[in-house]
Amino acid sequence: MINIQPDQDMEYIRQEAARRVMEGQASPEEAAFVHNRVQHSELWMRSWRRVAAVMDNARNLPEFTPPDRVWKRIRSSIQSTRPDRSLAGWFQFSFAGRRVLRLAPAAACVLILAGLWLSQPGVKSIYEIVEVTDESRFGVEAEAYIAYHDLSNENASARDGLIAYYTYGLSE
Amino acid sequence: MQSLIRPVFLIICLAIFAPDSHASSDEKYVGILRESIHASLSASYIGVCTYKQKTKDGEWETWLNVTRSSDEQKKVDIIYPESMSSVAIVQTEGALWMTPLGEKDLKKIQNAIKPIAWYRILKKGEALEFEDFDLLTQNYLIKKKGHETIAERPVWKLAVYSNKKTRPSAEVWIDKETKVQLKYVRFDADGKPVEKLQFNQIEFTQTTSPDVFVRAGLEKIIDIAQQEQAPPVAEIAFTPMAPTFLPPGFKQKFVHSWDGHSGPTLHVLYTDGFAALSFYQRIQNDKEKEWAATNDVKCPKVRKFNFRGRDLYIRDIDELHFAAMGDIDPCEIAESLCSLEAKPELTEQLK
Repeated sequence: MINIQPDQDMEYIRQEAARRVMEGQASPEEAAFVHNRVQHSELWMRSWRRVAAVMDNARNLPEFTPPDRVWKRIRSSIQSTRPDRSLAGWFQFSFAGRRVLRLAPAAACVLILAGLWLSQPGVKSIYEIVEVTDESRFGVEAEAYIAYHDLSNENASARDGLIAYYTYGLSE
Repeated sequence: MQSLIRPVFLIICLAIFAPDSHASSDEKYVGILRESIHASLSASYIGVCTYKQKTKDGEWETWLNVTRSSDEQKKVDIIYPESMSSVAIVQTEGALWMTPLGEKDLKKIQNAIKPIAWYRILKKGEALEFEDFDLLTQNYLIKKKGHETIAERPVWKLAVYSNKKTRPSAEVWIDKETKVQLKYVRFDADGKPVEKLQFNQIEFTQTTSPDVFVRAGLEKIIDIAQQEQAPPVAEIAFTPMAPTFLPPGFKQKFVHSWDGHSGPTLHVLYTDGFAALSFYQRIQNDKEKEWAATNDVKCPKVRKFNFRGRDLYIRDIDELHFAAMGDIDPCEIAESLCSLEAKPELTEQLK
């Protein structure tokens, strides 16, 4: 029996990719790729959490409790303004509503750009896929692999019989 | 008035970019598609259909005269390719029977013989195949795209597709009266058609004369009943590995092993209901060991080997040689290949 060790290198690659994203060093394509993987892969999620925890500890700041006068000012400010519950009024008079109005054109631009970007076919991968052409010895085996894949809906006996005939009977 | 312009603009933007609230399958048409698979393989009819498939050698096409009875008997007369127009195939008594071919005939039709393609159309061809229908409904949308006429019969046109752009898709035209599929087209992940079947004529019948399915003078080519028996399993003398990352929606479908060209080989198939991802693994041969020792075989580097138009992704890890292929995004295959961990229970699943 062969003793197999888990692939250690990938953990480093995942953590390095996560760190680059968190520190803003990653390109938009790389960041999108990493976010996608974190969403769908438990391994990536674990690596992301590890890096986030490390970085969080490094940047751990002391807590700040605001003085009481801050809360008094906020309370008096809320009580002095009569709330306008209509949507137009919210946009016109509330601080958040005015902010939304001011940001709406910029948000629309961001949404349009995001939509265009998402419509692109795929994102750049961190994987380096190298095409090889010198694996001629692999030919017969490759043919069997393709046949097994294409006949995956057949029962195993049918696959074996057809593949034996197809691989060794006709093409070679 | 001016104060309303901005909110209206914002609402229009939100309406344009809001998520699709109809991004779910229509249950009625999910049921019709499910029913159509059974109906296509059990209906009684006489029809003429064309079948095209993208193969490793290019496009392969045949025209067939098909007679099918409700008890799964079938007769196929080949119309095209012309070199095979004298050939008839009958499915009866748990086997496929074919017009005997002499050596002279075999040489004449050598180019037209594609066993896997023929097997597909003769045994299963009249209905679009899915790896797992229940899983399909979880990962794909099934929607009505309109009403059309195929072979002079009214049909529903349904689309089967995923919101993920790196998945295959299909369109199916289903007869409204009988629920039989009269046309289907399967597309690869790039949206290119890879398989197409269409009936140009079809007449549904209540009964078919048993004389049609006479096997006298024909030769048995495939024993379907024998195929139902479990095949022998090749013994695997290594601890198999499996990807800890699978593309979203994928689940393991089966494990199988056979004595391959370079030793016992394990095949694990994963599917999301429609797309398939195959993983093959075996012990490295001497040349591979030597090559792996002197070259950079570590992730994120993954090798791709194109064999007659199909891509295989290769990785050597420890003493094992892996190959993976599937009709999905290469990045997802590479990611799976780079997330391998030992999974001894795969050996148990073989038994």
